[in-house]
Amino acid sequence: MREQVSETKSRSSGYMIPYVLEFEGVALSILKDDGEGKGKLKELLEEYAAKYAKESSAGT
Amino acid sequence: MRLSTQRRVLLELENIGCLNHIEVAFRPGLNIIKAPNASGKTSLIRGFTSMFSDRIPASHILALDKVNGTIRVQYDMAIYEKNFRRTPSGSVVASGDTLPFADERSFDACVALAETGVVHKITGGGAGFRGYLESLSYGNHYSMIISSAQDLANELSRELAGPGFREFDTLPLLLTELTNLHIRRDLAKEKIRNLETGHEAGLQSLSTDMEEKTSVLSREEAHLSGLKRDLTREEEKEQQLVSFLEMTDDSAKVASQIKDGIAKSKEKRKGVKEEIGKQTELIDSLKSEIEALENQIEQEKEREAQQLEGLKREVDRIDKAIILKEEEIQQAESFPLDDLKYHGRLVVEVRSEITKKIEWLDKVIEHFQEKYMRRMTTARLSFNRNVTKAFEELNLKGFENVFLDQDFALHLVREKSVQQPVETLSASEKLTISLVLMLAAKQTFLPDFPFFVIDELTLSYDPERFRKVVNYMTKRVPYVIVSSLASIKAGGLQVVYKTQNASEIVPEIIAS
Repeated sequence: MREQVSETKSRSSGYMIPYVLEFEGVALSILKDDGEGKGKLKELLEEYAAKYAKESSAGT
Repeated sequence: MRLSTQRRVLLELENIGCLNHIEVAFRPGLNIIKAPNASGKTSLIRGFTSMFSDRIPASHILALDKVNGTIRVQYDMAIYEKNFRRTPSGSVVASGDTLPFADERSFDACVALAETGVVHKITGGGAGFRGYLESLSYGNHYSMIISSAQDLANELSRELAGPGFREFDTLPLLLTELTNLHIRRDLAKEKIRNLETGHEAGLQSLSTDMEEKTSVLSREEAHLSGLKRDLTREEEKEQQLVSFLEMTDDSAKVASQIKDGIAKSKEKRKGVKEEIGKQTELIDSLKSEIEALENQIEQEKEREAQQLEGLKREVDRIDKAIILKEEEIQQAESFPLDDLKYHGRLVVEVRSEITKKIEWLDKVIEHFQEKYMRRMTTARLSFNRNVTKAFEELNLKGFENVFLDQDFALHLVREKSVQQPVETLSASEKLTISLVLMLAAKQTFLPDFPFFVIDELTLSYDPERFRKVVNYMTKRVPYVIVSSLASIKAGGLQVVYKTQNASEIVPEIIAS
């Protein structure tokens, strides 16, 4: 159910992006501690992308 | 965090740069570090800087001929200590505390050394400041997220074009081939059914014929038996008549009758024998026909068996081809069980999953691109406002406006709106611009950072202009630290204080 997922409405494009708020918080925290944390960032992106894919498949 | 602006900051250095041991104190206001060349001004400043920023490498801080070094800062009843250690391989490792207001961005906005980004850029004639504002506004974090998301999306797209998914594209053809095999098998099975039905009908017909003929044969054989009995009776009758004749006188009347009787019997016997002959022929013909029918039935059965066997072999071949085709389809439909990433999962599922991931990443990229644009626009506009304010308040002659345009390029506007390229500025003007930009950056992004450090930038500076800039800073930053070259006659390193209201310079030498 989309209501259970954190969503951020993009101001200009106006559509909902699941998990992006959660992701942003964690990602910025990683980058603040480690400015070169691209590896961790990639892992985080994979994790959230997989969550979205799983939820989308369950919903279809 | 706002440092107490009423207290001294005590700094102690041990084996840092060219300094064996030194203690200095910084007070609120202007702190001038005066010393001859190679006396440790830069070492002191770099050491102090390392307590709130890691930008200067530890190997540039520890004394070159020492294995261990220490920096201690005391303020507000707390001591912060950082240690430097040279490893056997020669590298230098730093460990310990940082000051509570430490911020990596402070090196770019509050520490004016020759190697500081802004100073280096402007003195080198550079005018692009996107990177500078990115790191100060944390816009670089957004651009890293965007870059990482784009890399991952590209990687996933390449994976979709890979071999595992290409085999999946042959699936429609394989399914068509499988369907054709099923159709062929169904046709073969139908032929078998038709064959069995047809043969059954044919055999039934032959069997019926045979039964009828067998029945006729039985009747005819019975008739033949009857004829043979008749013949036997006639033979017996004739024998009796012959016996009677032998017992009778030839001249008697009855002898003539007996002779007639014998003649009739012989005639009848002849007729029966003829009939028996015909009947026997008939029976033989019937037997031949029955034998022929039996042979025909056998041949039909054999022919049917051969045809059925052929069709069943074809069905077997098709069954095997179907099994192989289904295996081929399964291989195209699923990743191999020993695939390290997908372990036998269906290709269509994995493809859908990857497509969804790319979809999410595209949304994330767009979202953070918007955030980046907003962040950078806000940062640029705020920065420009503070730059304009600084120039207005400094009232520096010669500059009407200094700002970053939409591409983050620096524009210098002289009086009467004449644009001047950065690289054509004098050394003094370049330094002024650098310091004002840094101060504007500090006001925009680090308003509460309590220090501003300037090192070795005063050598060719216009004294009047420098004094203006430093006084301006002193009113806005709690602690301003400036290094200044002194003659050898002045002695060792000393820190001179000047507060806003001080009319005299108060010397303080603690130790060296």
